Amino acid sequence: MQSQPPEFMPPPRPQDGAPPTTPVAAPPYAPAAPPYEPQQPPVAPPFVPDPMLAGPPEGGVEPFAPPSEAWRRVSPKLTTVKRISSSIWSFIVFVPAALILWFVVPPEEPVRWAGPAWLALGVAWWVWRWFRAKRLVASYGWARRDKDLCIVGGLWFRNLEVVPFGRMQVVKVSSGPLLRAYGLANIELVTAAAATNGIIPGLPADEAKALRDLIIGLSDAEGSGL
Amino acid sequence: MTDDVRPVPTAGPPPTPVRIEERLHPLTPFVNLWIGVVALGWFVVSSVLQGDPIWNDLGEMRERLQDMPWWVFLVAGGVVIGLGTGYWSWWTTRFVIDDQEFRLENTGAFQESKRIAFSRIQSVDVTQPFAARLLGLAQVKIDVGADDGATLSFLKRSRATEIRDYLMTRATGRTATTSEPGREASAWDDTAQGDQVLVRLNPGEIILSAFATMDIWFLMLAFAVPWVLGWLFDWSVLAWGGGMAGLALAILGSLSKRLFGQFNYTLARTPAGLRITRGLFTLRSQTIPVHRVQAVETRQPLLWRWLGRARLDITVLGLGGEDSESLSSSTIYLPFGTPAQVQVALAAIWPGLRLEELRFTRTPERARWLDPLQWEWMGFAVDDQVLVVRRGWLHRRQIVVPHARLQSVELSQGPFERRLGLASVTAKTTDLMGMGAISHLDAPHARALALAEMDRARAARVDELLDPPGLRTAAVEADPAGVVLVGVPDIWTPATAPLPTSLPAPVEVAQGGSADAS
Repeated sequence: MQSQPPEFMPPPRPQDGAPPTTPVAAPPYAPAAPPYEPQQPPVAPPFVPDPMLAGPPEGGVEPFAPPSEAWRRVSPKLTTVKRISSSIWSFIVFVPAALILWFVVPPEEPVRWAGPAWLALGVAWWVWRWFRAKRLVASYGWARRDKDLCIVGGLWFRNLEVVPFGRMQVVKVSSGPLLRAYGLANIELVTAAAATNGIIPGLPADEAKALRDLIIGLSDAEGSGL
Repeated sequence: MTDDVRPVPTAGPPPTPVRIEERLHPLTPFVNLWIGVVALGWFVVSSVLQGDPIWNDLGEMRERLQDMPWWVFLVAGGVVIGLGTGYWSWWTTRFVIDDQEFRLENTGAFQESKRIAFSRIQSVDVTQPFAARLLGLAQVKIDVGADDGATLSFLKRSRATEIRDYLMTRATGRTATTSEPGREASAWDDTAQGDQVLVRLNPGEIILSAFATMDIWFLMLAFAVPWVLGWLFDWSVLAWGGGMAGLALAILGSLSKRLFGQFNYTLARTPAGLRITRGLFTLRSQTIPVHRVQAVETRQPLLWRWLGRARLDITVLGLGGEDSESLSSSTIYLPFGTPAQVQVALAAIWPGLRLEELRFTRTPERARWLDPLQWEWMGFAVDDQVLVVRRGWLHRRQIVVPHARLQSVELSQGPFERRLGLASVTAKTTDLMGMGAISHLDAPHARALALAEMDRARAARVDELLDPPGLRTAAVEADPAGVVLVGVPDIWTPATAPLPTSLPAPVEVAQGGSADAS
C-alpha cells in the first residue's frame, strides 16, 4: 500500500521549471468574441491514463477504511439510547392509529383490519430497529486525517464525510434529555456549505467537549471560512 | 448634509481621504411610487385635454368631486401617504463611505446603523429600473452573502457607479481612496474606458434563445391544441375559453422576460472583477469578483445541442435564485453562448482552464444498472485549478468547481452500489446542493478521488493565503493572453477517456495495478 504512493497532487504549474507541454501561440486578444468557425473535425485526444487510477488507491480497496489510524467509535451506550428513542417513536406512530382504526371504525367495515395490520407492521419495525441499533451504533466513527476530520456512519447507505478543519465555522455540542441521562453528546460541524452533513452522534460528553476544543483550535490555525 | 459633498480630487500628491456622507437622491420616493404618480398625472392631463381642467371653477368642486371615479381617491390617497413616508425615510436615511468603513444609518422611528466590512462584500450590483433609468438614477445593492446586505436606492448614476467601483476595489483587498475620481460609465451598457468586453450577445441571439426554450413550445402547444380542436369541431367554448388569455399572457411574459431581461447582454472584465450587464428597459449590472466564484455550471438542453449553444450559470454566495428576475441578482452568467463564447467566459474566471485538454474519466459500465440513461455522460476530470463534473442525459450539465472553494467532500455508497463495487463522491461548496455529485465511480477510486480532492483543496487554499487572489486580478488583467482561443470543436471535450471497459474490479486492483493498459 505504501510502497508506491500514487501521484495525487495536481500537475505542476508551468512556472515550476518544466517547459509547458503544448507550445501555445496565444493570439493577440480580440475584444469582441470572434466568429466561431469549426476548423478540424474533433479529434479525440490521445488517451493518457489518469495517474490517480494507476496504482492501488490510498487506504486499500475498502472504500470506508479509516484514513490514518483506526476509526474512533462512538459510545456503545448510544445503542440503549437509540433503542429507547425508537421504541418511543414506534409507539407514537403505530399504536394510537391502530387503536383508533380498531375501536372507532364500525365492525362491519373491512378497513378495520388495517388496525391490526398497522400494529403488526409497527411491531416488526420496532423489533428490526431494536436488533439493528447495535450494528448501527458500531458503524459510526470519526478519525483525524492530518488537516481533515473524517466522519463515517450508516449501514445500508454508508457515508464518509471529509471536512477540513480550516472550513469549519461552527462546532455545536448538543444533547437532549435522553442522551444526557446516559452522559452522551452529539457534535455537529457547520461549514459554509449547507449540504455538509457533519454530525458525530453519541460521544461521551467529556470526549465531545475535548473534540470540540481540538476542532476549534485546529480551525483557528487553518482558518479560511469561504 | 447636502448632496454636493462630492469627492473633489485634490491637487497634492497624497490625496486627502474624502468622507462621503450624504442622503440618497431626493427623487427616490417618486421613483418608488412612479406608477401612482404617473396615473394621477395622467388623470389631470387628460382632464385638461378634454378642455375641462379640474381647477376651472372651484365653486363647483363639491359636485365635481362627487362625479369623480372612486379609484382616483384611492390612488391619490396612496400616493400622498406613500410620498409622505417616502420623504420621511429619505430624510432620516444617510450613508457614510470613507477609507475605513461603509455605514448605512436610519434615524427614523426605528434607529438603525448598519456597518459592512469591506472584506465581507461578495458582489455589488447596480440596477436601474425603467423609471429610475429615465431620470438617470440607479440602485446600488451590496451583497455580503448572508440575507442582510444593504441597498442604496436611489442615487445619481455616476455616483452609483463610483461607489460600486470603490467598494469592489476594497472588497478585493486592494487599497483605494474615495478621493479617486469615478470613471465615466456608459449609460447603455455600463462599460467604462479601459474595460475589456469579452462577450456581447446581439439581439438575434437573444431572440433565438427566447424561442429555444422548451417551456415556450409547451405553452404554445397548450395554446394551439384547444384552438385547433375548437376550430375543427366547432367547439366555440373551448376555442375562446378563459384559459386562453392566461396562456397567451404566460407566453408573452416568458418571451419578454428573456428578450427584455437579457437584451444587450455584455460580459466585460473590469479592474474590480467581471461585470455582467443586461436589460433593455431595466438595466442590471452585476460585478463579481473572480475569486468569489464557487462553481459554474454549463447547461445544454437537447434543443440547444442542435443549435450548438449552451448556457452558463454561476454560483456566488448570496446570488438569488436561478431565474430571479426581480431586482436581486441573477445567477445566469452567460444566457446563450456559442462554444467560443463559453470558452471565453470560463477562461475569464480561470485563466488557465482549457476544457479541450481535460481528460474525463467516465463511470464504469456496470453503473448502467443504476443509471441506464446518464451513465455514458457521467464522469469527472481534474486539473490544477478545478474539478469538472458531468451529468445529465438529454439535458447535459457540466459543473466546474474550483478546488479552492471546496467546503467538504462526501463519499457515499448505497446497497446496490455496494453490490456492484461502486461508490459516489460529492464535492460540496456553498449553495451547490448536491450538484457536485460524481455518481457510481469504482469504489476504491472514488475513495482515492475524495481524499485527493481534499489534498488539492488544501493546497489551493494555502496558495490563496500566500497569494490573495483579490490582489492577483491585476496581474491577470495585464496578461490578455490568458484567454486563448484555440480551435474549440465543441462545448464539450470531444471524447471521454475509454477507461470504463477496462477498469478492473476492486479485488484485482489489490493484487496489482497492471490493469490500466488502455
